[in-house]
Amino acid sequence: MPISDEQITRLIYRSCLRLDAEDFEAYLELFAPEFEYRISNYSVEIRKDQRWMDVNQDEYKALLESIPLHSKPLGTFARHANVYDIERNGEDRAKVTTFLTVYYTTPDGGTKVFAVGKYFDEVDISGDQPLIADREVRLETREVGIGSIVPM
Amino acid sequence: MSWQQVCTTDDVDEDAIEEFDVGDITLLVANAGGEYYAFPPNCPHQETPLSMGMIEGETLICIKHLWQWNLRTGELGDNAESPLLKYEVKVEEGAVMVNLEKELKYNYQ
Amino acid sequence: MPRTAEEFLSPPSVPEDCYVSSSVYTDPDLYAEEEEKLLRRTWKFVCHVSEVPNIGDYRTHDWTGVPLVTVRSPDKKVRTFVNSCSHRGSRVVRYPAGNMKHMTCFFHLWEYDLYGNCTYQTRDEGYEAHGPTKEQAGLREVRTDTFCGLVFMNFDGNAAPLREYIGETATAFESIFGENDFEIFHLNRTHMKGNWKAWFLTNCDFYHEWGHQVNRSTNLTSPDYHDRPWRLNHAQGHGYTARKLDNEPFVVQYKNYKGWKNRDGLVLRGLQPGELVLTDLFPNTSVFMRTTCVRINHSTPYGPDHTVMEERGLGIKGESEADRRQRAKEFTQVWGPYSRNGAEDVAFVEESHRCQEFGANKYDVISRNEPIGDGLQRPQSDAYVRLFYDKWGDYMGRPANNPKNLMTAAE
Repeated sequence: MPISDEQITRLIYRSCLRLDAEDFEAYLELFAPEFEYRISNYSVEIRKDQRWMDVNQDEYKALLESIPLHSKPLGTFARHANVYDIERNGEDRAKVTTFLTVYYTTPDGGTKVFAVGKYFDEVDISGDQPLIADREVRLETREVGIGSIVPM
Repeated sequence: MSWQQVCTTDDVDEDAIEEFDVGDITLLVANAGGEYYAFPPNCPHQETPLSMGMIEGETLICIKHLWQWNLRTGELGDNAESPLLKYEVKVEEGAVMVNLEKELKYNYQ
Repeated sequence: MPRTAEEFLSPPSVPEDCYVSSSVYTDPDLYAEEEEKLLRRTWKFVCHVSEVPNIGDYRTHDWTGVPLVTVRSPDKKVRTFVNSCSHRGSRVVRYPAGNMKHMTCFFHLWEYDLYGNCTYQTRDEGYEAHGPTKEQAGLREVRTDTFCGLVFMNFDGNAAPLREYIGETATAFESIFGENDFEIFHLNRTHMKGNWKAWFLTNCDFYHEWGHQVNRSTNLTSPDYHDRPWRLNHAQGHGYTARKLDNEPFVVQYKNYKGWKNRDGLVLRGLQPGELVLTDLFPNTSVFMRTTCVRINHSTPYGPDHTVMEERGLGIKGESEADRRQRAKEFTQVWGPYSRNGAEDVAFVEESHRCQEFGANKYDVISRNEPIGDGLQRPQSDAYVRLFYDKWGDYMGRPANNPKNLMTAAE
């Protein structure tokens, strides 16, 4: 049975929900082996593309496992995603474009927009379940205040 | 409980620390250069989980204030101000056996 | 033992140069005075030359509330101008960076060339009677100079030249910058609620490494961590830590952080694998050389409690895409908004400010003393922080521990 657009969309939304919940183990189950993850943007100041995070599977896993050791922002992040486009590339791969807004809520309960951008995902649709084989978080927002130990 | 198998030698990579539960007792097993050591899960200082610590040679390092102990001799190293409690350990045919006759606990204030 | 109200309000019982009044971080009058007496009289980092490589390339920025534009003129010299039209004061160049042939104000379309000359006044016959003429309407040029590819500016025409100002502290990075042809690959800016000095001094306070998981595991576990002294430039207020007393490099154990590897490849010329060199230039520029990449960090204050921190990453010009990617990857492991240290550093400054802002913390204690012999101090000593405030006092004509002389007035 081929993977449906609905399954792909649900995969993207699950990745947001699991990252919001900081359930990193379950989040990583949504990725294909040997995936890569990047956070990038275009810098108006230096007139170049730049990467603010660039990790492979092992590095990303270690990074997520180490988060409890860090002084991470005290509040919570919530991701709001809208899958804009699913473009199939043969039977094994789909390119998915998702609009992303990240909200930050302080421990006192105040909420503000933290960042906007897009997920550009390459999804492996060759198996029973779709899996993220490559994710680029392309940010419009370059000024993110305090920053974040937790990926987007 | 007295001597109990906690894990096998393959369960703990070299220079790694793993956490195990045996009955009601939670303990850590460290593999320091092929020698196995078992101790309570938290640092005697501020209850920081030692599973997040580091092994350098025979030395166990807590990641918070870098209290250090020599796992073999028990000697206090850099920064450490109180001793690390250790369980007796023996390895028998790949099984890591720990004497759990009494659970070791710190008197945290 | 908890302190009483009286004890809490009294200066700490340490020598006078070992504490600072928190008002230096919060008082608007002191900040205004800093702008006048200190920030406009010292060299301010602007950008790296690779941000303006071609004629007409520009960067806009601010200093002490003044909008500025730094541009490479046709004679290839980098110049800085007050970015305000001589006519009605609008910002002339409004984008952060780009390339231009001339500067045209978008309000009434007055035009300036890349030397700051006013070259066009729309319907200029209207100025024939009363002026100003074009010759009288050029932009205000601000002193600009370059050292090791770092562009600096200074409002003060009487200040010592840049090279003299940097002084012997240049030894920490002159050879490394001389041996490598650097190019910018990373820039991020962060608005923070905190004082510019608090940000800079976080860079200079190695004791704060205890607050970083990365530094605890990769730096502080190194047996020779405490053996590299502060080298202080008392005349100018700069400081750096580089080689150890025995002239061996201080090597960071990156492998101790889960998922990372030691930095043995792509080593910058002039550094050893794993080597870390840090330089702090008074009043607010830090240059970090971390084996494979360089970080330049400085800030722009917009008031006592609003600071925009800016950090840049430098790699090697013309290197392969793969090498650049690896270098950028290693840079952003430690620095940048999604790095392991970046968010922690901003939080340190903002949380301290929160307590200083309304007087919950009256004094900043800077008393750590860790002599290493020959008058030198170990890295976690506050020796540099004390030097910074000594120099601050010289510029301001006030001691940092009692800048408004309130206690004397009370007596």
